[in-house]
Amino acid sequence: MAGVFTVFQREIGSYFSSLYAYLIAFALLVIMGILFITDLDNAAGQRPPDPSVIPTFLSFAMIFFAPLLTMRLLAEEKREGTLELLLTAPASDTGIVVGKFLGAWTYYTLILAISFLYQLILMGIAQPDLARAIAAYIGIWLYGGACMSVGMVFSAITENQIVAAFLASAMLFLFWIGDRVGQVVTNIEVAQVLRELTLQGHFSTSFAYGLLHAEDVVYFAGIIVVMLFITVRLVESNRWR
Amino acid sequence: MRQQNSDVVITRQRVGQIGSYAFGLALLIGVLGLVWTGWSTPVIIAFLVAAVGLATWATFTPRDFAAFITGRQARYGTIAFFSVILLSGIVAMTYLLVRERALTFDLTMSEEFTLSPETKDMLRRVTRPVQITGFYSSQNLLLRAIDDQFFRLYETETNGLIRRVYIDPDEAPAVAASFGATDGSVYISYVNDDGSVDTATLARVPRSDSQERDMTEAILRLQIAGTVTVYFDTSHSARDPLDTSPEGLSGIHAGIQESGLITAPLDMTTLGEANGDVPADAAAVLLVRPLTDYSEAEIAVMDRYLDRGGGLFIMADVLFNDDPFLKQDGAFDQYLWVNFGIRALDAAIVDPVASDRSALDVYSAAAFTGTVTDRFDPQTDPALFRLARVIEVNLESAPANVANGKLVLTSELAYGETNLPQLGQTNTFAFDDGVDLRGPLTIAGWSWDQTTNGRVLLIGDSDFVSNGMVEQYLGNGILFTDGVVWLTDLNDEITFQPQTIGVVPFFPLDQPTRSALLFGVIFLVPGLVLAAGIVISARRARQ
Repeated sequence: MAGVFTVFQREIGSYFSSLYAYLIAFALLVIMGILFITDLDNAAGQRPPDPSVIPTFLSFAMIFFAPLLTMRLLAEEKREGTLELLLTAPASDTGIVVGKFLGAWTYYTLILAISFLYQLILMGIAQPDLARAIAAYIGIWLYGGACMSVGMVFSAITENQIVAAFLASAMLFLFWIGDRVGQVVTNIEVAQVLRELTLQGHFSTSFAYGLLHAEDVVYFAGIIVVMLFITVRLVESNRWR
Repeated sequence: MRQQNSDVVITRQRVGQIGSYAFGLALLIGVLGLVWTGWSTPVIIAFLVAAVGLATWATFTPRDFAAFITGRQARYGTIAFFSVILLSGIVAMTYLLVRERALTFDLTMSEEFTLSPETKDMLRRVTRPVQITGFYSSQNLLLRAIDDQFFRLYETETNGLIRRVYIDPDEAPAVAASFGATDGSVYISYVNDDGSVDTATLARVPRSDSQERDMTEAILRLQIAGTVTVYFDTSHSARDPLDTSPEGLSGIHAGIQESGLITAPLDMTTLGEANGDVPADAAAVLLVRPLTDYSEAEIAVMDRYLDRGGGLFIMADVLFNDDPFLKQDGAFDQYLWVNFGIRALDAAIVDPVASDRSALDVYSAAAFTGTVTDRFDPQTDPALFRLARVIEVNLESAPANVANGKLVLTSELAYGETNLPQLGQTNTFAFDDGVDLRGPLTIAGWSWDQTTNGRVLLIGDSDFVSNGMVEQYLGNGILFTDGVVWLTDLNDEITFQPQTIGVVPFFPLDQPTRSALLFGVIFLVPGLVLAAGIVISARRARQ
């Protein structure tokens, strides 16, 4: 995986020098702040604050957020004709893809870390189940990684960023709809299998409740590996098409 | 005017292309349909269309077709395709293997998803295969997922001796009907040697806010299932336990069976005439509003039963016939008073304060918990009694070795109307000082002979357990269930304390703190991020 670190540095640098990335972070943090305050108001005198309110929101927001972060990663390189240059650089295809993915995932991790401040604030005013919050954050971190790996596939398919974002959102919506698949599919065994294929099926009833199932970790890691592998094959196809 | 030429030119190339698209699309639909529904007419049609598309493609553009199969793109594409399939297969296999091991880490502070030591102790005593049968339609997919991760703890803890089976009531309505199941309900039972459900031990698992208690108590009940029998006396025109009308007792009858107890009818009159005995396996006998009073011979049967440690649940209504059941100072009433320090009085409870539509529909205003019930709380879930009798408990001079007490009381403003003929004929009542009884009055009382272990629970009403009322008022069901559990002495065996969940309530914030918090999380933190972005962009623009 030659060149992973170089590509990663370049990507993370481009995130931190782009106003666009800060605007996305700003919008997300405002929404998360509102949700945090609303949950505190709702919990007052009724129940303990919900430590998974922000991760649960992110599990939905990633449908739109992940494509926004990944749509340009490869599509922009293609459109501007820099992908060919990149392919001739001393970096393997895998290195390019993994480096770009790690850059996006690191940026997402930083936003998650900032939102974790809310849990620390909560500790000052209540007694939240911090361990449950950590489980939910581990879950949404893996969930986010899986979403971004899906976004990368579509960024590699087309050179149009909007098309890449739209296709990735559509795919992630299907991956998110797991808990509601029973409303559409009448056979519960089929619905159960479909739910197990979705991202939500490995988050909403486990990580969000403070439970860490080993198979859920394997699922998210597996999605990331398979999607990155597909992306590498797609990037590689530029050499023989 | 020039006429535009709108002729469509159909080339061999285009037909071949359309054929290739039709082949690809129909093949995809066919494979998906095959996986989804198996062989069906639409699936066969899809494969036929795919075959025609393939033939068209190969016939009209043979070169393209050959290039697709043997060309450079095909070679690389095929390798890429199969390598993705191979990797996906490896990931899927790893996932399935890990899932099989059911490795779960409960990160919650109070270990909400970890079985308590008490449950684990109980599970070690399970020696026969047990099946948890859940009925979930596709509409309840999420509920099934939530329940499943809890049920699987039981399966893992017993190394599969307890197994989970899920049935869709929409797909298998006959199976659901045989269980009496509705969507979302869960049952527990032993499993026969042939793997089928032992229907004799089938019991529904209640659903409350404590899943562990519900399931563990259900398994505990299963372990005692078939060993405890409760008899309903059907003589003296007592209420029918199988009657499904609002006045019937089918609800409590089913509830007793769901608790793993066996129910059976008993004819006290026949036993009395034959000088027989209550069956030896009777853990309790229920007398639910017999209309006429018991004879000396019947009382002798009950005396022998109580002497050997039996339990009698008596529900006595206000009756207006000539020889009413448990008439004050009648033989049976006297027997209870002398031997157990408890009796029914010929007075109907009127409560102008704690009552429903009529002052004769009386709510439980207070209760003494501890002996018979811990769960019954008249403040949160009061019980409602309809035309109830006054019960008297002899607290001052109870018989030797007899412990007794009041269980449910009326409000202080209630009184006991003693003019029952007038009440029955004109439905009028008024407090007569010096004649009627002053509140608070006792609606239910208990007595326990500590020498023989004989127990009596006397409630001055039977309407409270009728289907119409027990379904409507939660307190009625709790009072009845706990009464039966106390009489059958099962309290210690089926009561289980679940893992305590440390819920720390969150108190409202004062306004300055809330405002500071609001400013911090909605304006300050996001604002700092945005400001950093603007500064960096501006610096880049200057460069």
